[in-house]
Amino acid sequence: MAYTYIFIAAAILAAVVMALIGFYYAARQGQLRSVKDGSMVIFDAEEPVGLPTDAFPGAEPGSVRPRTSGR
Amino acid sequence: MNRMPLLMTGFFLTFLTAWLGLVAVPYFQIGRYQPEVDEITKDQTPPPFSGQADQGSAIYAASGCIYCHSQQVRPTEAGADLARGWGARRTVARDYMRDRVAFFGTSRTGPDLSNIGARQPSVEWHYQHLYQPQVVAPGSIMPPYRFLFEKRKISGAPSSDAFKVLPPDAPEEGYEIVPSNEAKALVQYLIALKRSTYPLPESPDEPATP
Amino acid sequence: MSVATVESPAKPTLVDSLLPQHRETIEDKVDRAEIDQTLRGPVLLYIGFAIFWLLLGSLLALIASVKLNVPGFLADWSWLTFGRVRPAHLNAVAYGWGAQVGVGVALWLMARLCRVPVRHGGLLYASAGIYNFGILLGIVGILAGHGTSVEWLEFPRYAAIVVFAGFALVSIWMVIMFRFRKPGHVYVSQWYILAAFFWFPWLYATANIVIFYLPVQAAVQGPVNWWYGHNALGLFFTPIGIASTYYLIPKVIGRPVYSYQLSIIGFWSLAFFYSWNGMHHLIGGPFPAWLISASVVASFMMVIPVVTTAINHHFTMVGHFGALRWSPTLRFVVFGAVCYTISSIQGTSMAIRWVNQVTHFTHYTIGHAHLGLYGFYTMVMFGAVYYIVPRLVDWEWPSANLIRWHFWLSGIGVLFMFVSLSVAGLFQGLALEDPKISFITSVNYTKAFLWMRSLSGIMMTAGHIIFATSFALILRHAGARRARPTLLTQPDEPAVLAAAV
Repeated sequence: MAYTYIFIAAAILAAVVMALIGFYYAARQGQLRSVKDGSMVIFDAEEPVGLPTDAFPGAEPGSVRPRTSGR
Repeated sequence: MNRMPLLMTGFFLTFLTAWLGLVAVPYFQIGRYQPEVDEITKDQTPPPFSGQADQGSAIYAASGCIYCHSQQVRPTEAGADLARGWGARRTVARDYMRDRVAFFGTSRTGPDLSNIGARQPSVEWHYQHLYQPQVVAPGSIMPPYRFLFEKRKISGAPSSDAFKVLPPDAPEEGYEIVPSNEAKALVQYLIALKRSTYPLPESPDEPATP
Repeated sequence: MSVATVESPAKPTLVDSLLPQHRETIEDKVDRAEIDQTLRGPVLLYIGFAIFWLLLGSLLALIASVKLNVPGFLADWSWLTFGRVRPAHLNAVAYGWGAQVGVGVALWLMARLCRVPVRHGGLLYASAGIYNFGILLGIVGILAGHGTSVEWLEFPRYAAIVVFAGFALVSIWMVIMFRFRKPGHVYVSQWYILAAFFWFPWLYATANIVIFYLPVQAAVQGPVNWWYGHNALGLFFTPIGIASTYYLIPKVIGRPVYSYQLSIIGFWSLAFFYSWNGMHHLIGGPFPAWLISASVVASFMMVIPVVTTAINHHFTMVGHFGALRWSPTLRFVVFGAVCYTISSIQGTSMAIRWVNQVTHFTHYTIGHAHLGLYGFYTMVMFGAVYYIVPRLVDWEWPSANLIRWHFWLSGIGVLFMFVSLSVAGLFQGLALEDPKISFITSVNYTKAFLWMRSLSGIMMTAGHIIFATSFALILRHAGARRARPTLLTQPDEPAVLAAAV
């Protein structure tokens, strides 16, 4: 009975350790560098940053286009 | 953090810790109870349900009683359950070892039923209450369960199952209301609910502090 | 099998996607509209079925709520007794509407973010059919008296396995889609979606096996039940809702999320802490204290993902609140994002023992559930549907006024419901905690508020009917052809347009 708990506790600990190792590996691989680029993948030449893409039917968003951040 | 193997490993490991902790450990800790057996009388606590009461638990599930009634008595430090007289002690995990499905419940739109069999041992009371809840308990918002009963014309002697229906719902002269098999099983289950009336070593009686 | 008729220049292989040093080499030429067209059938099918269950679930909810006001209402037919209508409502809206519209939205988001045409579309049609057949079996089963009375898992065994099969097919599709995505394109929404479709089948299978197929002793069922119940919300509905907000808010206003780093912290802390939630539904119950304490701690740690996500939601919006005037999608999504913050913080507070002691068994919990699943999740899904469907059918929503009515009826309705149930629950809980007050008094306190709840339910149902009307009209191409507002270039092939529904 006690062994079961020890085993399960060890398994949980092992999972956490493995997760940390994975994280460390990812960091070493440079996967955590320049993460900000990821936020730009939803924009492209066709729908660039600064272009609103939704409006009530019939409205012309150009006429009500908001101030954009220009980032 | 954009590679699939790494992501999948992360999903797997984070979830695995919880799965081990909240599913596997409880199984080993509270999932393998044996009843307490009295050395002399060979009586078992908690007692097993009778066959009819066991069928009744299925009616309890089918009718969705748990959406208003809980079956757990919290200790004094966690609520007023004992002070309300809903049990002589808190319920513990072993009290439920006879149940096929646990009806712990999350709602108390109606009162707790862990020990309803001790509070209301009368079969007739339960029939009346299921048939006409607002008459038995004024102000109640429990729905009547008349589909569990049958209205029959009395031919010869009245049925032994028939119970006294209180006004204003009493049937006209020459008719009687009898419980269906489902109603009988359900009531047998309800009066068998005496979860914290017997002592268990891990949960001694505790006095209700008002 | 494959419906992908559009040839992309060079499909990446699995190895391409897995090599750590791999960088994007293919010029990004796949037209969004082309990807949208390849997904049109499955996504519309999922959304359409979801709306059907939403309407049915609303009707069931109305019946159930009137029954609490007038106990004798429709009480003499076993199929419509309160204890069956209520779980039928929950399952219809949670699995029929919520999960299903979530699948529809997630499919679209995943395909769009992977930037490749859809492959294996047939899998999706099959899964939609199987899944809905499972839901139908389940709802009818509950009404017929085969419900299990295990909350969130009421579907009888014969239905649960069908639902699982339908869902598993979608999960397989998601993995394939992600696996063959265009290199370099991973967005935070994709993590959430991929994770949700990885966790949910595991969760659902575990709970069903442990409770029904190979039942354990009843005492273990409590923890497993609430581990499932809370994680279905936290590790399925929440990730899909957040995935949608992370895509739609930046996309609609045309600005990247406030802090992408925070989104990474938010995601992994959600993965780790949310999975340990659930046992706080059992505070005071017959369970080991450590089990409950672990979940209470995890509930508190949920502040981390909630705050990081809230910062991203709300700070991305700063300076763009004017956009709420002209974008229907944004209105719904921002409303949902605000409700997410509120309901998450409220949820953490409800894990505090002395709060839980009062609110645990009352209508307060039901108010919280509606704030989370409706105020947050459903409103975000409405917003997503308003964004997605015009792009799929190449047609404009028929009427701005219908959308406005839908928004105000649903929004005010859910807030009204939340307030009335919360107040009812507090009165009820405080009365229950005072043994000198008779039990029936605790019931009487709630009665007026339960009437208000029915009223709020009528408002929300009216909103749903309007929403369904809009959806039916846009499918029939009523009103105007899509012009500038949705700002999408037209697909190249006229044949695709002619084949539009």
